Amino acid sequence: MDPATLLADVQLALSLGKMAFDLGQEAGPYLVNAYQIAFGNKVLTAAERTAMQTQETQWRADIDAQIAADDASTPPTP
Amino acid sequence: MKRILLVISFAFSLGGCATVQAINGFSVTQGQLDAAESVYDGTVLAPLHKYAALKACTAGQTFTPANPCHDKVLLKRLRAGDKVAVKAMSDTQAAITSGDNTGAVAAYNTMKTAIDAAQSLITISGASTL
Repeated sequence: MDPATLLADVQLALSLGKMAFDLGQEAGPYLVNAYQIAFGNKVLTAAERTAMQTQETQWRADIDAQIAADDASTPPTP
Repeated sequence: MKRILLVISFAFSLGGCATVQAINGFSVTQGQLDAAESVYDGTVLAPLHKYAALKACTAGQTFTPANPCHDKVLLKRLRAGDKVAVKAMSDTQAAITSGDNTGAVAAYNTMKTAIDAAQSLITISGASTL
């Protein structure tokens, strides 16, 4: 394997690792929460539930904004 | 007469389902809903949010690890699936709050189906590998 290919593979692995890390940062707390509720008898407080719903609303607003941007950039079909 | 008896027995059997569920203690708790919603946020909504933030795929391009991008049509389908799941979660919450156990069980089952469908779509999109 030549050094250029090796370097490209390493860069790809690093970028994938970064994406996985970023996703883990966002998704991790929710999965930990779910585990603790299911197996650790954790009960969400009203504040925690509100925080979760606020985050959900924010994410959905971002997704809807992206869909609107996609629609705006797509040329109308003749 | 036979027909009337059949209808009555059918109605009783339907009512019996709810009664049996109540007797067996089969109910949906706030904790179950919170756990399901947390799992949904972690496995569907967070990846979906990341997926939407990727640049849009050009014509003929598909998602690959080397060139991550979001498919505009698939993103809309994912969001539509998300809306179904949100509605089912909201219905489940309303039934739990009002003490309607039968309604909560039905809404919870609908919600589980919606979550499964959304998770399948997320897997197809490749967003879960982000």
